[in-house]
Parts: sequence; C-alpha cells; structure tokens
Amino acid sequence: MDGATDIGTLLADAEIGVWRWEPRAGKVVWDAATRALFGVTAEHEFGGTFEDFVAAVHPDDREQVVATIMAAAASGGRFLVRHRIVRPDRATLWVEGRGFVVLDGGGQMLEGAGIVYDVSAQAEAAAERQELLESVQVAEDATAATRERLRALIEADAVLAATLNLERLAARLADLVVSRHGGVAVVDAVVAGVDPLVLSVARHAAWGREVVTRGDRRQAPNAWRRVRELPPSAVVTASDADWWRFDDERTAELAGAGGHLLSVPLAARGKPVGRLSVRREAAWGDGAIELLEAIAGRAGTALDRAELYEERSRVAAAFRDIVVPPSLEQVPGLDVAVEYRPAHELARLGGDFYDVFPVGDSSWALAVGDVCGKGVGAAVLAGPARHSLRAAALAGSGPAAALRILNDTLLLERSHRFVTAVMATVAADRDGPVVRVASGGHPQPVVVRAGGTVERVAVRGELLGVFDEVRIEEVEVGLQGGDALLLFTDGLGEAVAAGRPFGEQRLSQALAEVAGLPAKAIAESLGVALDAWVGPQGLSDDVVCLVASSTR
Amino acid sequence: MTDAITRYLAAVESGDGEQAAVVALGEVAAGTPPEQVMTEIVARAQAEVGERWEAGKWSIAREHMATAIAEDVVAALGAVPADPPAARKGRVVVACVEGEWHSLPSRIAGHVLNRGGWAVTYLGPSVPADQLAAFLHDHGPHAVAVSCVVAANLPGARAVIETARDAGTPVVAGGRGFGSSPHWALAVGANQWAPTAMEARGALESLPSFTDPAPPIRHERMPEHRALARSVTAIVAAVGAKWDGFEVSRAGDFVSWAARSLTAALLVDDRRVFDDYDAWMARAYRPHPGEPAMSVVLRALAAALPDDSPTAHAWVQDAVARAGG
Repeated sequence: MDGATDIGTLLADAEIGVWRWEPRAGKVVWDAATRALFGVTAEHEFGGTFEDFVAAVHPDDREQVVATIMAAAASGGRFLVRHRIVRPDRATLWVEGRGFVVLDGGGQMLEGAGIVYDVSAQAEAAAERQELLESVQVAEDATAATRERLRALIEADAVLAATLNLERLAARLADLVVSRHGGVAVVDAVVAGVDPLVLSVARHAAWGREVVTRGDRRQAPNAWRRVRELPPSAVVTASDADWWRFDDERTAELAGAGGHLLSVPLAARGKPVGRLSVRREAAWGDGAIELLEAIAGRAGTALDRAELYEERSRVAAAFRDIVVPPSLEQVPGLDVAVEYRPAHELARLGGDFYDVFPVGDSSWALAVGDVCGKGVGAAVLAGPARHSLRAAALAGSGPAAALRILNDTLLLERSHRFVTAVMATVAADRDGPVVRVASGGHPQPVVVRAGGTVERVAVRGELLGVFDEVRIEEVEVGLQGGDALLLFTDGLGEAVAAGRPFGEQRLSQALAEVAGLPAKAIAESLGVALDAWVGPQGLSDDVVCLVASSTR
Repeated sequence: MTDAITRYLAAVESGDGEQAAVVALGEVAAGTPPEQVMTEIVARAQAEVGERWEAGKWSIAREHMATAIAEDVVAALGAVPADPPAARKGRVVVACVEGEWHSLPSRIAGHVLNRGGWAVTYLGPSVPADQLAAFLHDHGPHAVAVSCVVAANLPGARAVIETARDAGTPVVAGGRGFGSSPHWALAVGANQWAPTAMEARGALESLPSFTDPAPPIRHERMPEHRALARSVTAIVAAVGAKWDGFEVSRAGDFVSWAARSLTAALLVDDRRVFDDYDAWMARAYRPHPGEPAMSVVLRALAAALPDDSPTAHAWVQDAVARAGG
C-alpha cells in the first residue's frame, strides 16, 4: 500500500469524503465516502457537475455556499463551508466542507479539491444550544418586564397610599405618570356633593408645579366632558376632539399639542370617579397601556378613598364647629381667651363645648360643658346643649336657671347621656364686672387673683340630664383688676401621664405662676403645662380652658 | 440696627406696645425691609428678653408681655405690602414641632415666607403629629416648615416630620433647636435645613413636589433612646419624690427638660444636645432656699435613669462633675 491509499483508507474509515473539482473539464469527482455522505445510489446517481453539487445543498444555504466557493475560486486559497444537504431520500444532514483552489499563471482557477464530512450531531447540539439561549433570553426579558411592571405598581401603591387629600393625590398621580411616561398628564376627579364638581390636575415635567382647576360643567367644560360624557370603561388611544384640552388657559396649548393620547377611566365601587389622560410624543405600546390601566385601577380606589375622607373631615369639622361659638366675642371689661384641644379623630370626638355671647346690652354669658362619653354620639349632643344654654340666657335666665332649662331639655331628648356644665354671667359695673356662677355637676371654676392666690369657686350643683329636679347653686364672684376666672372641663385635671393625673396641685402651681397676666398668656401657659405633663403621647380627651380676666 | 434694638427694648421694657411698633415701622420707613426688621430687631430683642429672664432680671410675666408685644409688632410688619409683590408660589404650612411653645420664630418665618409669595397657614405652637396629619390630609399643602427652638424637642420634631413625609409632603426644618449645622435636622428626617427664615424661602423653592417617607433612624443608641423616651415621666417623678413639692416647682421643670434633652441627644446621637442644655441650666438654675443644688439634682437624675441607659448615665455623670459634685 502506498501512502496515498493509506490516507484514503483512514479518511474513508473516518467517513470523510474526498472530492475534486476540475472546472475546465466541467466536472466534480466524488469518492465513495462523499457519495455515501450525499446518499448517492444507483437510482440516484450524482450528475458530476458543480451544478449537481449545488442542487444537493439545502435551498436556504445555497446562496451562502456558492458565494464562499466562488470567492475562493476567484482569488485562490482555502475555504470552509458549513451547510445542510438534502439527500435523495429527503434526509437532511449538516456537513462541513474544506477545500482549496489552485490558480494558473493567469489567475484563473485550475482546479479545486477538498474534503467533506458529516457534522449533523454538532450542528444539532449547537442549534439546540442556540434555541435554549434564545428561550432563556426571552424568559429573562419577560422576567425583567414583569419585574419592572411590578416595581412600577409597588411604587404607584406607595404613592397612592401616602395622602388622603384629593388634590394632592391627583397631583401626585399625574407626577408619577409624567415621570415614567413623559408628556402631559391630566388627572380628572369627580368631586361628588350637592353640586358635583370636577377637579383637574395637569402636570408636565417642565412646569414648576401642577396646574389645578376645580369647577362645574360651566367652569371646566372640557374636564366635565371627559369624566361625564365618555363611556366609563372606554380606553381612548387617539382623539383630536377639542375637549382633550385642559381647561386652564395656561396649559391649553401644551396639553392639546399633537402627539399620542392615552386616556384610561378611573373607577371605584362600580362607579366612575375620574380619568387619567396622557398625551406624549412617543406612541403607546401594549405594555405601557396595560401598565397605565393597572395603575388606573388602583388610582380609582385611592381617589374614592380620598373623597370619602374629605367627606368625613367635613362631618368632623361640622361637629367641632357646632360646639364652639363662631368667634370669641370681645367682652367689655374682660379679657377672654380659650385653650381648646379637641380630638381630631372622628371616633375620638368628645362632647366638650364652650360659649361666650352677649346677653342684652350690658351683660355677657360664658359657658363650658361636657357631654359624657365620646365619639359621634356625645358630639351630636354638645351643639344642642350649647344652644340650649344660649337660648335660656337670651330669654332672660340667670346661670342656675339656664342650667335647669338645659336639664329639662336633655330629659325631653331622652338621650340617656348626662351633661355637666358651668355657666357664668358677667354684668358690667362701674366697680368692675359682677360675675354670677352656677354649676351643674361640673368641675368647680377657679379664680386666679392678680396677687398669685388661686381659689376654687365653691359652687355646687347636680348632673344634668338625669333627675327631673336638680339642685343648682348660684354664687357671686368678685373680680378685681387682673383677677382671672377659669372655666374648664375635666380633661384638664384628668390629663394622665404614667397613670397619674395632672391634678389640683399642679394646676394651682401652673396658675400661680401666671397670675396677673393677660388671659391669653394664662390659657397658653396651661396648654404648655399640660403638654409638659402628658408628654409625647398627648391628650386622650378633649380639653377646654376658658379664661376671663378682669381688665379694670 | 443696634440703636433700633435698644429703642425697641426700651419700649418693651415700659410695656408700650405702640411705641415698639413705631420703632419697628420707623425702620421700614427708613428703608429696611420688614423681613429684616422682624429677624434683626424683633427676634434679637426677644433673645435679649430671654437672657434677662434667664439671669433673673425679668419676671415670667414681663417675658410674656414682651412676647405679646413682639407678636403684635410682627403682625404689623407682616401687613406692610411687599414691594414689588412676590410671584405666587405654592401653599406651605408653618408649625412648631410637638412640645415647642416658643412660637415667635415660627411666626416670623410664616410672615417672611408669605412675603416671599407663599400662601401660609400658621398652625401655631406645639402641633401634635396627629393634628398635623389631619391638616395635611384635609388641606393638602405643598410643603411643611417646622420650627424647633429647644433641642430637647427634637423627638417632637421627628414625630411631625415623619408624619408629614408619610403623607408625601416635604419638610423644611429651622430654628435654634436644630443647631447650627444641617446634621440634626437631616438626622430627624427633614428634606432641607434652613438656618434662617430668609433661607427657608430658598429651601422651599428647592424642595421636590413630593417626598418619600422619612428613612428610619438607625444607629446604636436608638434602643437606649427608645427606652429613655418611655421613662421620662417616671424619671421626673422619681427625682421629684425626693424633695417635698419639688416636682411641681420650677426646679422640677429643670429635671424634666434635662431628661428630655438626654432623650433628644440619644435620638440624634450627639451628646452636645445634653451638654448645651447642661450649660444653660448651670446659668439659669437658681435654687430657692431649701431647694437642692444643681449637682445634687443631677446626681438624683443619674440615679433615676433606667438601668439600660449607659450612655445617658455617663453624660449625666460628666455633668455632675462639671457642677462640682
């Protein structure tokens, strides 16, 4: 055996085909291994030309294979191709061909030769690997998108949960949307009420602050149409209608300037509460639309909650307003000040009330009272109790008689809540004010003399709202210049810190220090002493301290 | 300006509010901006009044009267029309932090901000956190400006700042209680620190529209701070029980503020809060006959501290040493 045969045997054993191409003779010669690789049989004989080889190449790979070989044919040297072949039995194989081209002296191709072998196993593995990589990439992209979406929603939740103020909430939602999606965002919110309004907040990254309008059908016609005339479920992605413009003229142009619109409804508890609309330069992809819809779902609930809170606040404010006079009247000869600390939570509303009002031309009445219990049930009675005392005094009753009338009124109400109250009338007199005081089961008032002594006003009387007949005393209190009368509710003495009440001694001490000062200073220093006593946990009950000091 | 302060103080000294206003408005007529008259005459004069009270020269009644006059004068200065009127800004709420009853600086800040174009709601002295929260949710201002004059109220500052930021409302903090650098204000969670009312204007402009919640305070003394904050009342009661009538006396107040200053110092992890208070107490504490000396009071305070407060203990022991005990 010669060397060449040896190599041919080795190649054949390794299933490596050898071929030769003689372009000038127009033929391609394949050895047995090549013929076996290409599935040549007696029925399907190889034609023996370059074109016959190309025909066996998979149609999708032909262009690339021919180009590579022709480039080598033109310039000479080695080439490598990796491609599929389709055998006559329809089987597809991956093969790799390596060859070289010899040129003649004129640079024309003389001949070519090379080897070809089956790389299907490798190619399949590579293809599988590629497929796997691609699917991992797809999964990673999906995870990243999901994560990003989740992050956006968590951020939105935190933002939407922060405030209960409707306008602030709308502004923050608009801000969030603009910072994420750009453009101009407009949040419209229906403010329900006797006369429904629409609140609109517009935001653009370049504006220093949001622009707000609040108005009815006439004042904010565009906002009105957006929330009232669009079907409540419609997601609008394109519209040139005029009413997408923001009502405020400062922003009309910016808000209405071309671009791509996306508007999603805001709803809660099955009713529309507003719209979120964004107009921006870039078009809206499915992902962004879905995200905004998801945010809108949450925003609807948040707006609804803010509106409920607003209503609740109005109710609480109404309760607080009814227990105090509309303003603190100036009383001639007296300097009047009040320290009133109502509970701000609706559930913690107390029944404390106070009043200062003129009775006739030269007389004034002061009252402080407390409906027992807490919450709406107590608060709802405090206003009427204050009014009853007013009415009785205006009809000419002195302090004790007024308290008796309040007692009768309460019994008629059958409220099953008792009330304590202290009432004082002040008559202007040349020698200083003449003060008459009566108490219905209430903590005794205190007089702080200008000189620094602190006296209890020893006046007794029974609880109101319990007995048909109540014993109520009435006493006269003399006030000289700088003396102060203090009416207060039990929240003062009973303010508790570490289980111990503020107490009589502390009250006297605090008052002695501010004797002779203006009423405002006395009231305020009681507030300071009280705060210092209860510390950061604050007061647990309403407190009223009404101070009237004589100025002559 | 010094001359104007002297004339203003003389008017206050004789209880003549009208004359005080004449002095202040006279400065405005002479060309000083009302803001500057507020901060450089009224506020400085009030500081002088505080020092006179501290030195025992002025009674508490006189100090109250001076404060009332200052408030009226500041209101009069605030009513002088701004020329030119400032461009309208957003809405800001001005409040003293929980426990802070020195309201003049925040009143001045309110007027200064208002003249800078802000719509100001003034909530007054010692605003509890829940009341601030209710206000923020009810009215939705763009920002909160909080004032803390006494550093012992830094825990109160923390409470209101946390509340404001929970509602997404950014906070500017100012007042002597925050010290002379931004550290304490930022430590308790403020978005910005403003050393003066005028600087608060600029700080407000640079605030974000919305803020995230205040970051939690994390340092190794926080557990001790929390333990001490819970026991302030008990500490004051324990010290007070040692002398008859002490707890309700003026001297008892010193102990209460000392305990609060310790708590505040632990909160911002800076012993200067307590040391500064101690230095002030050394100047202002003047025991009546029969009342204990300062070193004795401080030693009783050290003994009343809870067991798990080694840092506070060490700080008070140093104070005892300084008091010569």
